[in-house]
Amino acid sequence: MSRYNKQKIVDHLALSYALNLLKGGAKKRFEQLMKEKPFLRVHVDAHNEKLSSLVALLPDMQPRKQVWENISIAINADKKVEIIKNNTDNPWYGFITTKLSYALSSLILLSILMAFIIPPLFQQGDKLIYTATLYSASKSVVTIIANKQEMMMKVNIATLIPMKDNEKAILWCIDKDKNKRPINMGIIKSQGLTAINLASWEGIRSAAGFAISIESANTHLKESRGRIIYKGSIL
Amino acid sequence: MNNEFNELLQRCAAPCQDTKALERLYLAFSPKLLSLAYKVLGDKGLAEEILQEGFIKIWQNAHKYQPSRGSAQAWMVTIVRNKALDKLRALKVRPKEVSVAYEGGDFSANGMNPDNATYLNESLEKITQCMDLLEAQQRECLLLAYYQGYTHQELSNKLSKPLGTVKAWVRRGLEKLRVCLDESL
Repeated sequence: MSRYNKQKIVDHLALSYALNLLKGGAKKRFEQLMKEKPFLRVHVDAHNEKLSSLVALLPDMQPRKQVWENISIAINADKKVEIIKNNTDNPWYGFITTKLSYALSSLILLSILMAFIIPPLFQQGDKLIYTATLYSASKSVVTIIANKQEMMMKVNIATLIPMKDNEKAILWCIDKDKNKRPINMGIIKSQGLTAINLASWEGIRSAAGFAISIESANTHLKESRGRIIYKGSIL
Repeated sequence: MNNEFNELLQRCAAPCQDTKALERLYLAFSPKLLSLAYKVLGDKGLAEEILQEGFIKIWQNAHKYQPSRGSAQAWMVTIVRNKALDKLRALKVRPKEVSVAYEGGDFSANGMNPDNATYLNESLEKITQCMDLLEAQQRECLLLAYYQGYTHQELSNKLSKPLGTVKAWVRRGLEKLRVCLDESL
């Protein structure tokens, strides 16, 4: 450790790190040391400051308008969550501090409404409303409500799904019977609310859960060939 | 100008959460940041994806920005560049080669005089002066590492030079650059 106290070596490592020349174990060790010794971070910041000026030499590239529109939707969704967080003063629901717990609490509230306040929505042995929460690897959340009376599914995506122009997001219904293929429920938007009209309730009745995958935009799929980005079970 | 951008970035954090401030930062910096992401990834669609994710991260982490530690520009460049390099690693293949030439110049050319740069601040002058001190190969190695995340081995393959030679160029280049930057601090 003492060698990191030597100014010349410290500066050499800080510059190497800023230039992305530290790799693997050396990079991890330096990042750990930066947490322990804040002066290392100061050195890296100083080099980043100077190196970042090089970006001014690059030719300008104009992004498509859609990029800002997507950013704008995402940050406004963030603001709404922040407002809900700031308004939760009562201690019993003080746990509502994340998008995840907000989504979960919304579903719990919906379940209570269905069980006690809207009993006509239930029939013996056949629920009229199904809810599910899907999660991504980074713990982002998608909520799904399927309503038999309306024959409609509503899919609400909190965090923008990054996709290329030639890609689409597909919702899949996964059957309880593992031998049955997942059903393609249709294309969903990369963020916000998507309403899907249901032609039949049969697939939903025997559904165990849902998943969302990213697929090539040019193909009509009976089974997923892309990458699954969200999955979850019916509550 | 820098102070103005620093203030805009601070206004993105709570309690202001000023979306107009982020929009102004976006209008000012997105062309350069997109160009940076494109230089790393070599694909405009992917670069736009990174720009988008980068600005969402900038918004979500604006409260962590400390003007005393550097400019808003450097902070945003670091976020977008790191995101682009992470994406590059995730792809596990280096995309099609992006020209490393500046407008009107080249990394490896002597006397980098960025006539076409839209703005030349004091900091940029210093870094270009320091880069000018490097030998062409040293400069090319360092800039390929900075802009495109090249490892020593990848530099060796790209430049068709032995690994030891490339490591020596990098080491000497780093040393010259460090001394020069220290003098200008």
